[in-house]
Amino acid sequence: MKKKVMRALTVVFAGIFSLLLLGASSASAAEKVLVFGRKSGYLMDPAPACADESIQTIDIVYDTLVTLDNDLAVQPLLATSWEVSEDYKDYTFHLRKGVKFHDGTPFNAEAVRFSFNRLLDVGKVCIGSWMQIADKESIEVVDEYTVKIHLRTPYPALVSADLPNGVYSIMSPTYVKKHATADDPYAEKWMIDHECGTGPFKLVSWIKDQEVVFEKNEDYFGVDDPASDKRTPRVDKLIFRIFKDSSTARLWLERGDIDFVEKLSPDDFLALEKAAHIRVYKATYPKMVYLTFDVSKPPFSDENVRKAMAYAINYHELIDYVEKGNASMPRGMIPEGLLGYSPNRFQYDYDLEKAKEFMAKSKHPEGFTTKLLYCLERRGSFRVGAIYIQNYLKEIGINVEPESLALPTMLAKMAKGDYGITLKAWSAGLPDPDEIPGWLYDQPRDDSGWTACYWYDETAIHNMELGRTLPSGPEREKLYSETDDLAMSKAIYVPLYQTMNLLAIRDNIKNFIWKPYVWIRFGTIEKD
Amino acid sequence: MKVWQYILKRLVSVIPVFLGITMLTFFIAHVIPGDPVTLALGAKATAQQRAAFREKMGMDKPLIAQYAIYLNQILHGDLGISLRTKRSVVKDLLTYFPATLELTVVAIIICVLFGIPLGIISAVKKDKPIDHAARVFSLLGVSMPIFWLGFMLLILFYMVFPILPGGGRISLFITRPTRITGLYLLDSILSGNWAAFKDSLWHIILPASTLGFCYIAVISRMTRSSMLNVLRQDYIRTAKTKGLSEKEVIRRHALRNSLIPVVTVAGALLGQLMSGTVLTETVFTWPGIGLYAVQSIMYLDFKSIIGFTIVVSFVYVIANLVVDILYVIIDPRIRL
Repeated sequence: MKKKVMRALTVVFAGIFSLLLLGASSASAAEKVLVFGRKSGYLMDPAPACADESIQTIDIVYDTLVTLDNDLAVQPLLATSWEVSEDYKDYTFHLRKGVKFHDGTPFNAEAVRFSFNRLLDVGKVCIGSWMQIADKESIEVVDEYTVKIHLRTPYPALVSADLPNGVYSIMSPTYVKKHATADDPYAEKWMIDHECGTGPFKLVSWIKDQEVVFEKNEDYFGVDDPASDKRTPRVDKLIFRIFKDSSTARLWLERGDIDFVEKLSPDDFLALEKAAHIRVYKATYPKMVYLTFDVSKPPFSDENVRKAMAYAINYHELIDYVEKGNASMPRGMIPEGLLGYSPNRFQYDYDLEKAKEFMAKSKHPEGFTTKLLYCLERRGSFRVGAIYIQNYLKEIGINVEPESLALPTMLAKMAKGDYGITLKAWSAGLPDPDEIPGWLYDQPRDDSGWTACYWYDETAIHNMELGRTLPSGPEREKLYSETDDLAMSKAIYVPLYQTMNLLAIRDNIKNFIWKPYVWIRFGTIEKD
Repeated sequence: MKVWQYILKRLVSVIPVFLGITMLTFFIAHVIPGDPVTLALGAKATAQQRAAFREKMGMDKPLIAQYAIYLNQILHGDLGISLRTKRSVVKDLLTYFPATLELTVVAIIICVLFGIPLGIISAVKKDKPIDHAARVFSLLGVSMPIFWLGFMLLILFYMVFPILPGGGRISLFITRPTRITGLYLLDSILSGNWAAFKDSLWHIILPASTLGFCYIAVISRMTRSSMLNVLRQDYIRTAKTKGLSEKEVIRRHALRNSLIPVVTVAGALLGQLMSGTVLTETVFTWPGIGLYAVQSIMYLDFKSIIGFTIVVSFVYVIANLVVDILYVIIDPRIRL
């Protein structure tokens, strides 16, 4: 009996071994497939989207009323033309005819109303200002292909900033209602990883934390403008291959198992710059890394202390060694690319003597001890950055104890105030200055700890409130510029650097374009 | 007591264990400072929106009331919605748990397949060069950081000698097996999808070897120690004097008697591995429960944290139950 069992086991193992010897299968050679290494599939539902990475996913399968081209100029997409009232409260959109959703149902004005009202119903959108400027009566269906938007308050940035963003994607009401339930009336659970847009790709499958597969939408309406990414794709399939470790993804790229990859560590990007058949694509990103503190309480209420810290930081060292050269010197808190940025704005630079002078003049000439909070989830390089900052501040007598926290815990501490120093990052999800100075300099707007510098300056708050109501132009630019100048003169924040976005790409990938706010243009990419 | 009665008794005793675990995890997770709603809704949410969301999720009620509601939901099989993934926690666990279970089971098999023979050799050839070599090998396994070992194996077998895949559970272009259990190897056998079976097996070799290698030392050391103890017994001396070969003595008398402590350790390892796979999952992009748990903790995602804790606790309970039953099978003198 035992011999029979042993024989059976031997046969089974021999069989397994034979199967293994046959080797792994390979892909179909007929289709053109693009494989993109990503840290996550993120999510597919526009309504709760909170991150640029999610917008990148949504943008593949959905369309918006308007889009941005390579020069960030607004172009028609699902809307072919529009009119804006003089007070920037009323917008009329004329919609494209003959467009179908991926489920075959027609795109029309009712779909626009449904999609925008769903943003309010779900109540979680954190990109754009729809929740603040509109309500359920804001959308008026004039006829099947005309829709009017009546805002509660003037908002000139609606077309140039908000509407091109994937949060405002138009989804099929039929599809969403089909998957709604009594417990989930807006089909939130279903739409997280399912879609029904009009976009250039369709979702085929989503295997959590492994892959997301899209196929070309053969019936995509496309647009004629060659500058637009919204054209029928040149590849048959697009696959996100999910990775968790940067070094593993780097090996995949080197071996050719993926075609391009985002969000590797600075060290891995540095190594790939020397790798064969790979290039590292770099682009300025509207994200600022900075130090923030409670300026309403000692010791940071003392302007001399803040200036001492600003002069004590070796910015170039941080850029070269922490970010491996993939960042740029800031010019205030407004990043390059946003209205109000100026390359000539006053910026603190490393000057240890000046730093010590300001410290000596301050109310804390002997220095003090405080905490330096940071969250690794926000940026992986913060661990090393915190050590560098600790050393810089030690030179002027400020002893900081770096402390890595989970983001909710860090925000809770900041919301209470008097939290020490926080190493933070803040980015602009939309191409509008309200995204960064509009939050950082308008303290009453935030009560949850996200900005939490507690600088209640009447001029700054007034400028930011007024800036939101003006169209982009010299008058608006002046408001943001002057406020940033004011804040920098008082060292309300200490901007450390502006980040870059890096992607590593194999050299058989052509027409690869990445721009902030429009992200990767999958419609243009070709693969040899 | 019959085996089925024993199993029933043990399963019933799990209930107070679960109550204790859910209560402890729930209250500890809520004591940690931080508001996950702030993170879930982002910076632009107003105080009214956050309040409305809290009310919708029942988070505005007193903690005791929240716990009672949550317990009621668990009893109906609903572990709530993850604030981070925005999906049902049950759905998340059903996605991630089988992957970790499969990895862990294969790792344990590797541990046992290498660890027991290594332990036997060490015991039989005590203090000989082969014993020392086996012990050095075991020591290497337990000393090497798992993250580093995994990455070295990846470089060796994926880049230098490209014979194994570089991560994930299955290749991009292979049709996945029909989901029955979520264990790809088992599901592909059950559905007759041999291409998926082969590919899944190919994919699990590296991560399971990485995980298993680190624990081979534990199994081999326990086997060696237990075997040495057994080899000193009178009945072993009797067997030898009766003319049985060394191989026969070990196979028919010594091995089975030395397995009890090894089975105990292997059972405990299962629970330990289940909750400690995060580094292996990270290197090999294995979509398991370890990384899910770490990310849930970073986001203070209470419901995911509790869901993960319940699952791992359940694994420990079942592992201990299986070990107890194995005792009876290995040694008929033991009664339940």
